[in-house]
Amino acid sequence: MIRSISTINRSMNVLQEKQENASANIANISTPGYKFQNIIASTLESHNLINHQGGPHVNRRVGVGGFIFGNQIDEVYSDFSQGNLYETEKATDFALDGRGFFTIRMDNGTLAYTRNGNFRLNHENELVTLEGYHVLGRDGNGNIGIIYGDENHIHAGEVLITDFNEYRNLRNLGETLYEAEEAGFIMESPFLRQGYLEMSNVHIGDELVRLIEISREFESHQKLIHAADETLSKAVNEVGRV
Amino acid sequence: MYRILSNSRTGVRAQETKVNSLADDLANLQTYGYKKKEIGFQELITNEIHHHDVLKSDNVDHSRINVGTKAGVATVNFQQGILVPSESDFNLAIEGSGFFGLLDQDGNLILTRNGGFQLNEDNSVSDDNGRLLVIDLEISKENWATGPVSISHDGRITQEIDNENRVLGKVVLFEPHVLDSLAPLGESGYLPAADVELYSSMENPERFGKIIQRHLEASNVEMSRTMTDLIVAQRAHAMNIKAIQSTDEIMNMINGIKR
Repeated sequence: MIRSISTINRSMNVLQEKQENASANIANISTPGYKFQNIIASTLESHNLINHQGGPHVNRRVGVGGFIFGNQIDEVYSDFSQGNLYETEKATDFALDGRGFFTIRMDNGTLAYTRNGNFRLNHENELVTLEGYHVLGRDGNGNIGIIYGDENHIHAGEVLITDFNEYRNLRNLGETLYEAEEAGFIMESPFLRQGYLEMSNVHIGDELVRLIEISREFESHQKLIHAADETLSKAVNEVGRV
Repeated sequence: MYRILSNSRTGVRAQETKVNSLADDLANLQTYGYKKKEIGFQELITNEIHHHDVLKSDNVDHSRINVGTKAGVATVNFQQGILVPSESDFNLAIEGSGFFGLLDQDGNLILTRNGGFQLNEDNSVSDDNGRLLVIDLEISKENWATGPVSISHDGRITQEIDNENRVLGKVVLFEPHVLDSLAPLGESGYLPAADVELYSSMENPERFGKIIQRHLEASNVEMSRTMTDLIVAQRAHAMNIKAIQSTDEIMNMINGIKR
């Protein structure tokens, strides 16, 4: 019986992470290029329970069946489906329609990838993200480097777009940046739109339903704990009474 | 659990920043030379889902949840506003690129697109706040006549003095090399960054737009756009509050476990 409480507890822990994830998605409902994240739970491995009771010597082996002692997080994935495009008419704003990622060089020199094309020019006239990381581009000779503004305008053809075969291997770094485990390849003709931003792909309805699901599930878990508690209380306080 | 609440709180605050900025834009719908602000949203950094908090299977190699969002004024949208006719001689508008230069009491150069200037008693030209317009004078102010002045597209101020058309001076336009480097000061003013090259129409007249006399540049805020953005921000704000309520409900249930 005490084991059932810990089983429910494990499931509640998963629900709390799901709630945190849903809140994070909702908080980023207006973040351009944000891709919603989902948590998938699975059960722990089932264990066979065996009783030894009955029979002449009270040692007959009775298989009770498979038991599962809780849930765990099985997968955390980002959904890379397309977000809506929103017109901003700013020359430093870009949106990708379809596959691909903007290539960003962070301050420590490592490369990161983003769908958030909300860029600006810094004081040195270089195209940077809101955090000040450099956006990489490719000039006419194929050299890869920083993009410079031309009279406050950016030539869309210079922006370097990287694509990957498998988006599953991208790791979420925060600040709408992703880190790649495997090397990507340069996309030759991306559907790049200047003066647009790709909005977050979080669906309000889905997240709201998720919030309701989580809180109702939590409620039933709480009820289960009470039921287990009551049974335990009976076992402890009443069964032994003469 | 408290992390979840602070996560939603960042969302509420970011949307409030957006609403504030939109309200600012709406309030300045009729302000000459006003340029709308663009609010940028960005995801915050992420936290690892810790294995002390919850069981994770061997499939999970990367499990991070962000701690919310932030919003701030990313840039100012310097798109051209519509030119509206006006009566006064010193009401100027720029069609194209460039800013008027203003000198405040401390002698700092402030850039503005608001060309609603006035001629003062001592023949100085200033804006409504008394900041002086930068003019490259050819004839000192004391010798100006009282008649009407005409200002050409390149900023030359001419006036009839003793039956002769004389050039009084030239309205100087400025523009930084990078527009995004301008810091909004309020009162339609922008402070140029010290480390960015500043062009003026004295040296590079070809970079600048035309000065149109007896016109003013309306604000570039679009009413319908701002209103729809406001509705979106309001809904997103409400959505974050729903998340807070739902988290609160769960916390309440946790407290109710021990009776």
